[in-house]
Amino acid sequence: MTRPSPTEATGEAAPRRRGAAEHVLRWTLARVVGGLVVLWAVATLVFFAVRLVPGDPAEAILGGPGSQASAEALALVRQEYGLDQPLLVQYLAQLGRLATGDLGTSYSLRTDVAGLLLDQLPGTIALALASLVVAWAIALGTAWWATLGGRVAAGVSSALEVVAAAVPHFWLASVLVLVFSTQLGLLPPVSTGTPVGLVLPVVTLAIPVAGFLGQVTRDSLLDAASAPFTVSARARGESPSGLFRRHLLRHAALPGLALSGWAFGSLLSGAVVVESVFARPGLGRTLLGAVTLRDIPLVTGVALASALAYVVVVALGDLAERAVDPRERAS
Amino acid sequence: MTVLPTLPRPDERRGASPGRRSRRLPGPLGRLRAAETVAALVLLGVVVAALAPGLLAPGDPLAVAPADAFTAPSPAHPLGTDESGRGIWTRIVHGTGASLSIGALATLLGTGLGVLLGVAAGFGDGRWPGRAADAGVSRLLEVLFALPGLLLALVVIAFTGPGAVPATLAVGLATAPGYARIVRSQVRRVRRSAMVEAAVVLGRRPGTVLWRHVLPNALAPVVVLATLGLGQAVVWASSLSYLGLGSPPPAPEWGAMLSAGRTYVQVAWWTTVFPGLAVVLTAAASTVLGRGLARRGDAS
Amino acid sequence: MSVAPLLEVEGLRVAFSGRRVVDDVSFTVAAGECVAVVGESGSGKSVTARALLGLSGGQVDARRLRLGGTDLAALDERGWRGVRGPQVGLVLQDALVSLDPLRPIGREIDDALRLHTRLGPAARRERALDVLAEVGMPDPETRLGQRSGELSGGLRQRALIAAALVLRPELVVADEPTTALDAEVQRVVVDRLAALRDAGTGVLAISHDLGVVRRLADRVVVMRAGVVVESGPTEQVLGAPRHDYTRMLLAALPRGVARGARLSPRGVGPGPVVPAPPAAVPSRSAHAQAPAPAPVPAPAPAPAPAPAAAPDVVLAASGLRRVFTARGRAAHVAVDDVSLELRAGETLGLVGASGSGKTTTARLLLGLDDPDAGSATLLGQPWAPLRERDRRGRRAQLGAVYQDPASSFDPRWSVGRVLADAVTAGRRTRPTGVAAEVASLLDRVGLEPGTADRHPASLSGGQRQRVAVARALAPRPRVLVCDEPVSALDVSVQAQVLDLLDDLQREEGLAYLFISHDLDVVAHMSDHVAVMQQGRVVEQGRTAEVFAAPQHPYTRALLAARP
Repeated sequence: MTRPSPTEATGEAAPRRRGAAEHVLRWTLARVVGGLVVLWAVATLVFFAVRLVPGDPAEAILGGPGSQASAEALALVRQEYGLDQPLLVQYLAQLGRLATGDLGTSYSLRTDVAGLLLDQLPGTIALALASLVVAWAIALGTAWWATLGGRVAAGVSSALEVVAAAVPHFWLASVLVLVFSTQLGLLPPVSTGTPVGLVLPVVTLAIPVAGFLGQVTRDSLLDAASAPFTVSARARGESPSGLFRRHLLRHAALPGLALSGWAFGSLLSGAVVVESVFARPGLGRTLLGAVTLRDIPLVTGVALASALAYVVVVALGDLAERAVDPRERAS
Repeated sequence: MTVLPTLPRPDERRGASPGRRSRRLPGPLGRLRAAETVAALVLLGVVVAALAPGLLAPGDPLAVAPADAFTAPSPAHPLGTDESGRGIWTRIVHGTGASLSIGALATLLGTGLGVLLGVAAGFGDGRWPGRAADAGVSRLLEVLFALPGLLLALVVIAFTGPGAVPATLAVGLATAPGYARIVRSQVRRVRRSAMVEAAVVLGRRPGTVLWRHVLPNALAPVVVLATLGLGQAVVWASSLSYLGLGSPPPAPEWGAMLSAGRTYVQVAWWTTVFPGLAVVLTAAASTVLGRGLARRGDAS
Repeated sequence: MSVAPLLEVEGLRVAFSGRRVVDDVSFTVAAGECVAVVGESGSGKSVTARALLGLSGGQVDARRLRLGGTDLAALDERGWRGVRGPQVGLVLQDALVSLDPLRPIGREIDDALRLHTRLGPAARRERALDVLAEVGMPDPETRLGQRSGELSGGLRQRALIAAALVLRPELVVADEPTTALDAEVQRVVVDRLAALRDAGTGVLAISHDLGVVRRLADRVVVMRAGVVVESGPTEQVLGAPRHDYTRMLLAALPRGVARGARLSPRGVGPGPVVPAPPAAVPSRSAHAQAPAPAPVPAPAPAPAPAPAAAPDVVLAASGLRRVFTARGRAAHVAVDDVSLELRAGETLGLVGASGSGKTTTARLLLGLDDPDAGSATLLGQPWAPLRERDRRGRRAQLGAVYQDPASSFDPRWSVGRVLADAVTAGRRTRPTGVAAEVASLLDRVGLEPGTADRHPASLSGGQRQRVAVARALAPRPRVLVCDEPVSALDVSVQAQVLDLLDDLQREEGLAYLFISHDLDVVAHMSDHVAVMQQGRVVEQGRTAEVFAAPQHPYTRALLAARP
């Protein structure tokens, strides 16, 4: 039995890093600051966009030149937003308002924007999260089927993924409603309060994302399946399903996790269409209405809420990625 | 909806032993080529329909004939008629121009903007002007990503108002971050490559290296990306029209047609299914073609 | 008394889509014996090894394929899963990728136990700890929970071997177990496998490294293009080879070959892209080969006596220091107070383990990176640190050849374009007759003129490296920096490239900085040698002196670690 040489005895591959707790603290701080920067940037962009649009900013806030806002409404807006004041003062005042959670008032719906958002947010978040879970399930399921089923399965799943990724939400929703609601009568065409009413919207949202996640997952699955560690595992007598469960699954999921921020964003943006098709109350539908009526405070509010949700999801996705793959990586 | 088309990574281990299994998609090469040929033909048909719709569908897409409203698919009207008696096939063909042009122009805008931003950000490591550009562009991209896809397009429309031109602008802006991110990573990768080092050792000036090596190699995938992105741009453009924010009626744009047909889906499913199918076929064909191009580029 | 062999392979054939990759291969392995299968890339040795585990793919058939009492040829996939692990184990080369990098090594070992035994979790843990202790792993309890990336090179190779051993297979197949590993780690692996052999397990080692084979194997099987060309006891095959190919392989080894002596037969061109079909009949054991007269490289006379005065110094470095800082990590001193001298017509070899700072030093000398302290001069003029615009004009004096030339070529360019670009680079005026110069460059490195129209990706490794040398020569440099230029090449191709570099040095009076982790290659190629460890030069001097009487303990350890 050979004794390990002195250089081997410590066995540490890299110099020890700082303690784990400090690491977590730094990471959280970086995330929070980053998120705040993003929110600030969104608010700033909207601020300047309103003022860059040709015409009267007060009018723009109320819905654009075609809104035919009354003189009192205009005056009210000018006073609230301090549009007579110098630009810098306006900007700081706006930031101050946002920092305290005052998102302004929606002129089309005549309610406080912040309250409206808090009302609508949970429904959309629930929809998006459920769809994310379903999308992952479909993506992993087709990836698994591709490894087992051989060439035919891989070709079919590849074709399905291309189609799924190319399908627009509004069409998919209509087709699904047509098939499951009109013809088969199994599911309701519009959202009722019940879980059953959630099925079609979730499936509609999930399929395009599943298409893309499936492509990415299958690519990395193929990579992992021909890697040396897979050969080692097979040389131990590992079965295909054991191979998938214990080794390939993790590797295949990694790029998908890295894309979780994008996936969630895609779901949020798809929610706009899905919520209006299925008459589901939520942020998407609210945004649509706000855009149609050019209700700037409400649009701003939704944009900020969406940005916040995105930042949180990206952070969670990063955590999940690190949990699966703790190796150090250069960014 | 593909936002971030993945670039296949080049197979780095050349001269591998013959027993090593290839990581490419299984299936005989013949089958893959058939799919790409079909995709190319479909896109060709789409382009013809956009440029010369009369060739494929003689007839007036705007001619109203109330007596024929809601006829099912029949020899006279292969895809049926809509609520005003207009032939669906005719309207789809004549609407190709509107749908495709918004998508194509938006893709051009998105790739142009994305390349500019990506190249600026790609020079981020090194001296401070580059670093500042990288930091600035990266933050901008983060913000744009925080307003994903359709949401960003909608926010833009909120400011500009609805219409075909604003829709083009909105979709272009919404697709730009995806391109920018990929171009940025490509530029960084090429700048760090052994090829650039070899050029420096030979004594090439930085400008020459940039022009001869970095840009051509970093931007080579852009064509492929644009092909992949075209389908997605068409999907978004028609989504905007569906929501009433794109081309105004009675223009025969696909999304708008679907929106109009939505109310009648129970009686006349063909008013909904066929226009959407046109979108799906176009988007799928451009995706397949794009992936085929990517694979070809990978193999060369 | 003859013992029935443990593994019997007779008439093994493997084909992929009709193309035979392994053709009528036969050999045996007895318990307690190590048989080495030797060959270069494309010889089919790896496929043969995988076929013994049913992992080769393709169509496999054999007249006889038995392991112990089991007929391997009759197994279906399910049957194979029962055999893999308990009866035959596989050890691959690099533990960093051969063990799942996302899982702790304890789990990898546990898997094997869970699949084939009925032991409970506590018993399995005991067995895992036992086998880790057996392979010499210090502190096994902690190691169980660590992933391969968290362990140092030697430890993770031990873990890899442990994972293959835990079920006590009768036969262990090791596929290139030492390639791409540092010398010290290689020694660990070789010693482990030797211990296995001594304990009664049969070992089949696939390798292209004849030094390892010498240390480990009782018998050797030499393969080329899918066929066995020679086999027999190690001393006989390596000491008195009967087949041309084996002789050529042995002659290509640089160990012990004097400086300036050829390693490859003269007149051997770059060769076709695909290895030519073998000329010899596959020998099974005792069939004598009619030895065809082969151009045996004659031991060259000692190189011309050194001139009375030492040749001029062309590149000198003094006190070079380079520190890398990254956020969250301690500063890493890559190069620490390194001073070197290169003289015209001579080679300075630079050796050390990976991470010792050799490549960083090369980059500093090439001016690709600026030192944090210290300086370098080229042909007497200041060279580093210096503003790039002040030294760009003189870059023609330096050339570089890397380990992997493919990544240093523009992927869109043909060979001719690459060379034409190198010919015109750095010169103010466009010389006429670029094409003629390209043709002459190709000729000087032994490539046909038609190569200019081909794409580097379609060339073999050796041909690509020749193109890289041609490109480095294009500006007519005085110094070539070669960073692991032959490490990725087969032995026979390596010999040709080393001979080429030697010829060019004699013809042009070039100075070389030759970096390698392979001590034999460096000993053959260098007049002077510098040994690096953790960024410092711990010893330097004339090659013959340093290798014969090393002063520094690290140099001694490096030399002792060679198999």
